Amino acid sequence: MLSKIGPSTDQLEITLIGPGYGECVVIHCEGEWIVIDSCRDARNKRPGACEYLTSINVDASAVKLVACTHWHDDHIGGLSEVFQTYKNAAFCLSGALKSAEFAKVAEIFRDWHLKQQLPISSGMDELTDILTSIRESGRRPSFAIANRQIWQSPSGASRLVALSPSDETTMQANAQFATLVPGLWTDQRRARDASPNHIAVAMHLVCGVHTVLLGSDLEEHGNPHTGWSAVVADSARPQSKASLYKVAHHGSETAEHPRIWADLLKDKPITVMSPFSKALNPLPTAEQRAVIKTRSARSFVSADLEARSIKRRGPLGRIVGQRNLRLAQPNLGWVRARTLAADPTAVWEVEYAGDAVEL
Amino acid sequence: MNELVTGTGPSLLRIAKFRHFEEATNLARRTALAATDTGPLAPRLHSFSSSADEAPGPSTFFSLNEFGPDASSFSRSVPATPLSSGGWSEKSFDAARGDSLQSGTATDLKNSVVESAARTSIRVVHHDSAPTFRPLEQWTGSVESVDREARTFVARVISSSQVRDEFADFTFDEVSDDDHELINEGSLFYWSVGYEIAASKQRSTVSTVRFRRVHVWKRPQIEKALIRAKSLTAWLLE
Repeated sequence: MLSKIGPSTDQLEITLIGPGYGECVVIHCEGEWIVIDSCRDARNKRPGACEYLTSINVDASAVKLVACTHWHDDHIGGLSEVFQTYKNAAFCLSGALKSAEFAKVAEIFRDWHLKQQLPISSGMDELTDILTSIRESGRRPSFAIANRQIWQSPSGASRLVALSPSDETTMQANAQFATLVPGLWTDQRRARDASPNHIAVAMHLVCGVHTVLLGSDLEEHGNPHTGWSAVVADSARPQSKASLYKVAHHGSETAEHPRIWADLLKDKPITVMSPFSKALNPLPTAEQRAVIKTRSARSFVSADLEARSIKRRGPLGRIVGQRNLRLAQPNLGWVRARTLAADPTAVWEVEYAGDAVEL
Repeated sequence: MNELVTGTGPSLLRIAKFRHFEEATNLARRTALAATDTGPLAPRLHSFSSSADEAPGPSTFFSLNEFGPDASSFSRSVPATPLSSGGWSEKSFDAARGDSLQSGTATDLKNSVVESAARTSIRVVHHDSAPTFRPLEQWTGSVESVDREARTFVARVISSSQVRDEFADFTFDEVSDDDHELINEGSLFYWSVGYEIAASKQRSTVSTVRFRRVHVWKRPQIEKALIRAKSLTAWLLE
C-alpha cells in the first residue's frame, strides 16, 4: 500500500488503482476528491477507491463526484458501493447511455433468472443498482458528452471536461444497444460487452496550472466522427496539453492515434495505465509497452501480469495447468502521482505499490 | 455397467464398457469404448476416458488396433474403425459377426457381442454400478470471447473452492459436439476436474465441460421489462 499521508490542499494528485482486470482513478484537486470508475480488491472484495481513501483518512463528504466512463465489467466493479459510500457525490455517466435502448437492455437484464443462482453478474447489475439507488434517493445523474464540463472546483480555477462521446457515437450506441436486446425464445445469456468502445468518456482535467488527460477506454477505428479522431479534430475541446496521461484502453493498439501525442500531450509526459488480463494476449502487449515507454518520461503499469495464477499441485495442477488459468483480478496495484497545482515548475512525484511496476 | 474383458487376474485388460444394453438405439449412439487398464496403455486410455463419461463425440472414438497385441483378438471380431455417425451401429456389429442381424433388438445386439467375444476369448462382465465421479475442483464459467476460426474460447471461471475469479482458455474439442452451438459470449457452463472411479475401483482423471442449457427469454418477462424501461427512459430523459 502507498504511504498513508494524504495530499496537502495545494497538491494535485492522480492515483491509478488497478488489478489485472479493472481500473479506477482517484483525483484530488483543491481539497475535493473525484472517483472515476471502480474495481474491487480481489482479496476482500472492497472497492479499491474506498480502501485507498479510507487509508489516507479522507472524509466521505470530500468526495464530490463519482463518474462511470462506460459500463464494461472492468470499470464498474463495486461502483454501486462507491456511490453508496460517498452519498454527497454527484454521479456522472456517459451521455451515450441516456437512451431508451439502453433502458430496455438494463431493465431486461434486471430479470436475468440466474442472478440469484450463480456467482456471475448479468453484466448490467452494477449500473442498474446505481440507477435504482439514484432514483430512490431523488437525485439526478449528469451525462458526459464531448466538451461538457462535469466538475468545477469551488474557486472555479480547476475543472474536469469530458472529451467524448461524440454525437455520432451516441447515435451508434443506440444501434449497438438495440443489438443487445435479446429476442424472444433466445437463451438467457449474460449481457455481452459492446465494442468497439466508443461510448467511453475520455476526460481533460485542469487543476491549477497542470493538465491531465484521462483516456478511459476510448478507442480509435478510423472513423473521423468517433473515437480519438473525433476528439483531436474537435476545435471546441480544451486546448491545454497534459503532462500526465492515463493511457487509453490499457495501452492497446486500438487506442492509438498519433495526434494524441502531438496535440493533447506535452513532450515526454508521465504515463500510467492499467493492464487487461482477460485477453488471450493481455494488454498492454510488449510492443505497445515499448512504444509508450519511448514516448514517456516515465511510464507505469498498475499491475504486472507475469505469473499471476493460483498454485495447484498434484493431478489437479497437471490438468488445469494446460488451461493457461490466470487470476482475473491479481492483487491491486497503485500508482500515485502528485505535484503542486499552482507551480508551473513543479514536477510529478510518482510513488507506486502493490503489484504496480515502472516500465 | 457391462464390460468386455480379456485375460485374468492382474493381467486383466478391460477393452470396452457398455451402458444401456437394453436399448439398441442407445447402444449404437452412446456406447463408449474405453479401456481402463494400467501399464503401457495408460496414457492413451486416460486421454480417452477424459471425455468419454457419458456421450462421447466422434473425436473420442479410436481404433482398437491401437491397443496392441492384447487387444488384437477383439479387433478381429469387432470392427476397429470408428463410425462417422459417432458410435457403433447395428450394421457394424453385423459385419463383425459375418452373419445377419435383422431385428436390431437389444437382445440381438447383446447376443452378437457375446458370441463374438466367445470366439475370441473375450468375456462380457456385468457390473451393477456405474462409475462414480469424485471432483477435485469444480467451476462455474461464463464465456467471455470466442474465436471460431481457432476453435477456442476464453472464459471467466469461478471455482467452488477459491474466492478469486480466474480466466481460462478452452478449445472446442473439450466440449461435446452437441454443445458447440451453445458456445457464445455470455453462455454459461460447468467445468469439473476429478477422478472417475469405475466399479472395479480403477481410477482415471477426468475433465469435463458441460454447457448449461439456460432458460429462454419469454414474452411476459420481456413485456414486463419493457414497461419498466419506459419508466426508466422517462427518468433518464427528463
